[in-house]
Order: sequence, then C-alpha cells, then structure tokens
Amino acid sequence: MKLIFKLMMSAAILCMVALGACKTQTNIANEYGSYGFNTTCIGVDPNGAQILRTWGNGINKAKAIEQAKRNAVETVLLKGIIDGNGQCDKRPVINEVNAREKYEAYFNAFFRDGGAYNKYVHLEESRTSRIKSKNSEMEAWSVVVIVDRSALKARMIEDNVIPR
Amino acid sequence: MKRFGLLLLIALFIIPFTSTSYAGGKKGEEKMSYEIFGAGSGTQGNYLVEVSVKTKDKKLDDDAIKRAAVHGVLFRGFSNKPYSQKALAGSPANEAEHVDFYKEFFSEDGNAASFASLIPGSRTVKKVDKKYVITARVTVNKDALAQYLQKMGVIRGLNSAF
Amino acid sequence: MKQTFVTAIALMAMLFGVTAAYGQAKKPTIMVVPSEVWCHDNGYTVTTTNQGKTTTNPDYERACKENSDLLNVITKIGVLMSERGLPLKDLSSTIRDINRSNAEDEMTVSKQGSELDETPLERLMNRAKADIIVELSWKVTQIGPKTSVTYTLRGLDAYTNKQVAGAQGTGPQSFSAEIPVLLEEAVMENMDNFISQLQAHFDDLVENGREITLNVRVFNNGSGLSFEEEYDGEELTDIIDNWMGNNTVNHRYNLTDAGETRLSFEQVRIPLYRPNGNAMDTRYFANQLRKYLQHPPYNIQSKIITKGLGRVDLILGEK
Repeated sequence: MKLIFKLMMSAAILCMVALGACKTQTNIANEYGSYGFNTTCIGVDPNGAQILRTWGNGINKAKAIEQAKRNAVETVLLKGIIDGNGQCDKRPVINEVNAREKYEAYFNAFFRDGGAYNKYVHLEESRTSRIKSKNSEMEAWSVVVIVDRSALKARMIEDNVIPR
Repeated sequence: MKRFGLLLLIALFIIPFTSTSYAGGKKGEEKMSYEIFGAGSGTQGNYLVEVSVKTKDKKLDDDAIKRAAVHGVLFRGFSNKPYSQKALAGSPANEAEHVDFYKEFFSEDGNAASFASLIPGSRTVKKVDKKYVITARVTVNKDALAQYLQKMGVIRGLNSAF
Repeated sequence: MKQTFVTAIALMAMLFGVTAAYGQAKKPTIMVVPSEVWCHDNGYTVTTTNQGKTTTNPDYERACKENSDLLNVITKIGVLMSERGLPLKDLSSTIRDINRSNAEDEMTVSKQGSELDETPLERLMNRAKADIIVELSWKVTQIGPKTSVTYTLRGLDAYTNKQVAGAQGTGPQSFSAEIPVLLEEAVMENMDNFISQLQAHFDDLVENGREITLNVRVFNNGSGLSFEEEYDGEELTDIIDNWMGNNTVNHRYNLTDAGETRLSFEQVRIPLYRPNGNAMDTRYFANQLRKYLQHPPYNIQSKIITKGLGRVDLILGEK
C-alpha cells in the first residue's frame, strides 16, 4: 500500500512538471474530422521562417499531426500561403507548372514517413493551442508549426527541382 | 491525511487531461440559441436584423444579443424575402477553422458586440416554457466587420491572393 | 528556450505590423461601364459607316459628360470596390487618355496589313487593362406616384469576356426620393452577393490558374508550312497540343478548332507565376511556345500578337 502510494505520488509530481508542457486543446464539432482546412499564415520570424497554423487528417492523433506537418511543407513548396494575415510569402517555392506530378518520385520519397520534409518543419507550441475534431472514421488535428522556407528553397535548388 | 493525499493525487491526474470545447460567449455558458431574420433595408454598410435569443436569464445583457446578431450575420445569413443575405464568413466551417480567434472575439471581453447596436425600444421579452425569448432589432455594421476579419486573416478579401 | 524567444519576437513583430515585401501576382483592377443596352435605350450612341457597312456603337464619352446619375453610381460602386481592395480604373479618365492619343495609334495593324477590328468597349478595355469590367444598366419604373429602379450588374472577366458575377433587382418604391438615391440604394442592396461571386472567381483563379485563349495560325507566305507537317513522325498539331498539355495548370485547356492553318485553344489555364516567381501574363506564356517552336527540330519563326489581357495569337512562319 505504501509502495503504491509512493509510486502514485511520483507519477503525480512528474505530471505536474509535465503540466507546463501539456498543450491547450480545443475540440470542435465531429463533422470536421475528415474536412481539409487550408494552411494559414500566422506570422514570419526574423529569419524568414513562416509560422503557420496547419491541419491534417489521420486515423489517429499521431498520424493526423504528422500529416499536418506534411501539409504545411507541401503548401509552402507547391501552393503558396494565401490565407491568414498576409505576411507570409504567397508564392510557392516551386512555380513550375504541374511540379508535383513532374517530380512525383522525388516528392513521394521526400514526403514519406520519416522523409526529408521533417527537417524543414517543427511544432511551435509554447504559446499556441491544438484544435481537434474526431468522427467515427478520422481525426483532424490542427497545430502551429514553423517552416523554414529558405532552407527548403536551398534544398530544392540542390536537388535540381528549381533552377539556381 | 492519507485520504486527503489520495484525493489530491486524483485531482492532480485529472487536471492535465482536460480540454475545452468551443461554445462561444461566457466560459462554461451553453452555446447561445438564437434565430435571425432580415428586418429591413439597413443604412449603407449595415444590415438590419431581428434576433430572438432563447435564454434562462430574463435580464440578458444587450451585448449578448448584439453578439448573437454578429454571429448570425457571419455564419448563418438570413433568407426571409425580400431581405436575404448570405453568411458573411461563407459557412460555419470558418468558425471551426479559426476557433482560437472566434473564442476571443465572441467572449465578453471580445470585439464582437462593437460591430452591432440595438435599436432603442425594440427589445421584447416573452416566456416560452421555462425559458425566455428575448427579441430585438439590431443594426450590424457588416462592412466594418468584414474589413476587420480580413485584416485579422480570418476571411479572404478580393485581393487576398494578390 | 531559443524557440520560445524566437516565437516571442515573431509575435511582437506581428503586433507592430511588420510586413515583408514579397513579390506578388498582379492585383486585379476593375472598371465600371454602362452597358450597351443602357447606352442604346438612353440615346448615347454614335453611328459610323465603314466600307458601306453602318454600325451603331455606344458613345461612352457623351454618356459620361451628360448623365450625372451614371457618374454618381459609377463613383459609388468604385468606392465600394476600392474599400474591398480592388483598385478602380476610371472610365472618364480612360476615355480622355484615348482621345489624347493619336487616333491612328489606336488601330493595331499587323505586318500582314489587316486591321484588328475593335469595338469601343474593346478599345476601352485595351486602354484601361482592367481585369474585371462591371457593366451596369438600369431602368426607372413609375407606377402611379411611386418610383422604383430596376438594375442589372454584370461582372465580366476581361481575359475571357465571360460573366463571372451578376446581380439584378428592383429597389424599394418611393414617393419622393431622387433617382440617384433610388439607384444607389437598389445597387448597394445586392452588392455583397455580387462581391462574393467575384470572390469565388478569384479563388478559382488562384486554385486553377488564369483562363486565356491562344490561337495559333500559319502565315500564308508560300512556305508551305501547315499544321499537318510532320517532325519525327508527329504532326505539328500534336506537337503543339502536347506542349499545351505539359504547360497548363493541371493540363487544362480545350482544343476547339484544329485545321490546316489554324488551331484554337480555349479555356487555357496558365499559372499565376512564372518559374522565377514573377507575375505571369498571357504574352509570356505564348512566348514560351514561340521559343519552343523556334528551336530544333522545328526551327519555326513566329510572331506574337496580343489582344486585350487574355487573348493571344501566335502567327507561325512570320516575323
């Protein structure tokens, strides 16, 4: 009994420490579990990295958040950031027409699980919240990320996707 | 002492795992139930609407009614002929997409009520079952509202993409 | 820790309204004009005879000078559009510009010697280079002592001449209000609906590319060049068709007419940006095809003639 009590106290203390890192989360209606919202611009940091709110869908939370990160990179690379406060570069990094299709093999490898896309995006959640919607089939999660646009551009030049 | 410690432990486990659902209005308040109709030709830049709010509070603040009017103009529109207008924000999906912004906007400290004004003397109260239906005519400054939301990046404007 | 600091700086920068100056797609402009029907109904027309053919065209200049109701409502619509972020090209100023220029400069003549026949509206559109033309017409109806105004607004995409937005209706009846006031009230009542249609058009443009028309013609200079000519076993028609497929957004275009000396491509979707990130226009797009055909194994010289913002002719075999 004493041992169980001690273990629970330790776990509680750990949780309190972790409380600072627990993310605020807002749940929205379940009907949006399969909906695809656009990536929006929240701001730009002094290095030119784009601070974005992005959305992803998946069968569970981890997959949905990973997809959200992927969507953010894909939007910066191929679509441009139209929505939001207008501070981000609205042009995509790659302006060649039908580029996703043209470089299909390259992008499939780039965006696969654990692929190179991960190097150019990271979660930024110290002051932002997550948004969640869950229906019977899918979960939609929204997170705030930072995408390093200049590094992405350099990578595309290095890989001969865009000219120097 | 041990019992207290146990209760504290349980509480400590529960606290980190709570999340909030978006309902708008005061924290913890039930999602506002209202109806909105067009009530005439507003002056330029404005919609004139009639809002009926269902509430337990007979003395519901005017600002709450204004917030309901702004919410209706943004996400529902109104389609009673001859005064019909589409939802200014396009659809309710916009509210879900920008839930962080709208949570603040529609809170008691938020700006929503500042885009509307009640027509003096138009407020009426009716008792229906165990609740009250408060009806009032409200002018919503839709041009200023649209400009504000575009500036905040919550809805697109005509030159957003350019 | 560093990330938190960086985010804090970024959020502060946002608060102080830091905006980065990035390259942009061309901002669309609008011009409001009275419709041809309105001009005819109100007597603002000019009749001309050319090679035995009599044509009656709208007289925009006289309409602007003589009809204060027209100027008033055009100004009102213009102000509203400007507030929404669409810069306005003024009709009166554009007419003055046209008059100031040498009349002969306004007639574009290709080296073939044929004139590009322009209607007054086309001349206005070519001069103003507005992306959206808003055509307005209205009628005053009197029933007993009550007056009301029925109006029609059409938003035309200047690239394709297609209607992309429309609104019509009858304003409230009044015993005493002046026509300009009634007209203004009538038009403003449905303006949000009109603007949301324009918004949908711009959203489509961003998503799927701008729509243009490209005609490829063969110049009859006796060289024998035709679209049926083969290069490595492939006809020139198919070579150009393949190029269009590879260079349009989501491969969207429509080959509506394919003959020996003429190919018509309509609903051609071009990207908003060039590969280098600058704004794309019709001429640049056609120039890419011209360069493609200039190189081996085709070695075909060609000339580009643009008409308005969204139509271009590529004449092969001529320079």
